[in-house]
Amino acid sequence: MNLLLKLGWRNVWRNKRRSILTILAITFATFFTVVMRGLGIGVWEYNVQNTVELFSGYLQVQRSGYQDNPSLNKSFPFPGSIEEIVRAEEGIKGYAPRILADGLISYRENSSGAAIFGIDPNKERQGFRFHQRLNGGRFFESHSRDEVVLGYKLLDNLKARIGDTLVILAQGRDGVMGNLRFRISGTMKLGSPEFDAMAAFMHLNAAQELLAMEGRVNVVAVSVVDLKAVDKAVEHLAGSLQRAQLDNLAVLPWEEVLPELKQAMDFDKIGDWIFLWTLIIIVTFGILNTVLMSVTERFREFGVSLAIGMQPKKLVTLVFLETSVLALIGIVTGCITGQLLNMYLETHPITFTGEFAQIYEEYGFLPQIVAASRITIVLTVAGLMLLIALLSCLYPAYRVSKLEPLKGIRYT
Amino acid sequence: MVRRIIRAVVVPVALIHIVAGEGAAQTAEQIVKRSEDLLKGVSSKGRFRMTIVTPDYTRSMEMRAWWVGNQKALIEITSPRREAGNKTLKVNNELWMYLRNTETTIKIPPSMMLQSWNGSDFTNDDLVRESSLVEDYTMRIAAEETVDGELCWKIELLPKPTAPVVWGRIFHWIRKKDLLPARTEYFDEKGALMRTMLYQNVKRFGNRAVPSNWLMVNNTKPNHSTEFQYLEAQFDIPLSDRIFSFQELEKGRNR
Repeated sequence: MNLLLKLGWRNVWRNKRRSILTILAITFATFFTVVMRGLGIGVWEYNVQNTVELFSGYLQVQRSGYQDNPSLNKSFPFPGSIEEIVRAEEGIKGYAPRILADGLISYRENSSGAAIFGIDPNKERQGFRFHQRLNGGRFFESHSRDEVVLGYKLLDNLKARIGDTLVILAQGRDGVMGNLRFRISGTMKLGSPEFDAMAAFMHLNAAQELLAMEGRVNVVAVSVVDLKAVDKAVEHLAGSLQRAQLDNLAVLPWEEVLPELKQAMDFDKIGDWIFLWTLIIIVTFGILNTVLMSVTERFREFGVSLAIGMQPKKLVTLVFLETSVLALIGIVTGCITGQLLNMYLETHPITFTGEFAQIYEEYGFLPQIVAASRITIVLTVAGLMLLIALLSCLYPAYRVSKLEPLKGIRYT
Repeated sequence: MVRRIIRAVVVPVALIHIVAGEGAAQTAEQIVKRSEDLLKGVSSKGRFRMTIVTPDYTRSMEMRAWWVGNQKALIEITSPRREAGNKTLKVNNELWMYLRNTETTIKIPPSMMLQSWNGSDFTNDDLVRESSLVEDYTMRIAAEETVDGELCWKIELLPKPTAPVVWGRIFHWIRKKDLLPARTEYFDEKGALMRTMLYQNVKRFGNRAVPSNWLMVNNTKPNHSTEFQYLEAQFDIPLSDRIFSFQELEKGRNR
């Protein structure tokens, strides 16, 4: 074995140019794949994290069936035992009870449909960031019951201004059409049309009065430290609620609360995979070419080896060893450089400016390129590359194993 | 404009047909037209009770209403107290709501037209588009069937290609005895049954007999229904145009 290693090492450097080119090809493919995976995961995680921290939450507690068919009747009492359970949960950054309903806003001659959000500003501040997206005016204080914050487009559509008084009409839990007056305290710009042209934020208690929801809410949004903590928190929280006999409640991770986001992410991933596999196929044929060339060109040498008593098995091992050396050098350098770039981009994201940034923002994405530097990315890519390198020398190895000494010696 | 021209031409032609067809076998159009005229009259006013049934609650509201043909209507809620004084005004294709609690008048925007009207299974659009069946549908007598023990024509209505209607097909049962409707089934464009309307309990109000219970079963939401029950009604009475004005809408309950 030792002899074979030595032989293999020398063989690799016998044709330096070819070996270096092959190593470079593998290095580049590995580097590229590592960076692409890093960016793919990084950008998405960053966007998802940003989106869920903005408003929806990493997970939500809802009445079972609310997600598929939201209605005011699917509500639960809050605060109460539910609040204690959520608060006791480990690793939770914040939680916020909310009421969601459809309504109609009227200001003078203008009226518009609206999405009503009843929120508690103090609780929202602990885990969510949407209040930072104020476009004008100010956010209402936690004691205020007669102020609303509107999406900035909604304000435009109503032709109202901050400080004006408007009327919100909505059908309550008991079916009665509730209507209350509110003063506009500010506007928000959240970057998504549903919010900017529809949203009306009011205090939870005001929403409860308007919608006949005394002491009840539809959703408790929960914020945890980061995406990795979601699955565990969902499982644990569901278990705690079950133990407390609150089994008409469901705990939903962000993927279920925002299925469109998840779908967009999955769709993007498919594109990444197609690209990755194209790259892999090209690299496979590159390696196959190098190995096959180096093997056929040495058939005479192999023939002589066989003639003086070398086992064909050992020659096959030699071929694999040579390829492994090439591949390992390429993979290690590719992984190191790729990981370094990922680590750099993780701490120094590239931020777009100007028009490009605006286009991104209009689609609700952050105009930033961030990478994730995970050791799992490096390991999976390294394993994949090694696998295809070894797969691509199967055919050359087969040729070698079938070689007869005399044919080898006479091979031209 | 085009519709107005069509109406100007079609209506007289239809009238000629009715006159000419007197005594002969009746066409589906004639039956439906007469039935509609019987039910609505030129103008009407009355009191009714609306009962909304959902799996979560059942509630009743009482209302007063003034009606001029299909063009104008004013509906005022008189009970329960939380909603008393709220009004709905319809003038042609537009709808306003007056809310007593906040003393505001809201024009219902197009985007809200398909929302429920006062929590019932009727939409705002149903009030606005309470258009004439004869204008928007082609029809034929499909069968003769018995509904609630009354022999009826079962009339199939299909929307005209240009008609601005939401239904893909309607089955309408009209009693042969007195030309009053007995039952209507509304289907969407894919052929699914969306609503069933039942007309029951024919009562005499003044000079005409009309079904006094109108039950609408929502076939898309299980166990949701809305029932209208006439308490009082007067037909073909003179109504001042002032009733259907904003001043009247925003006035207190003094009529």
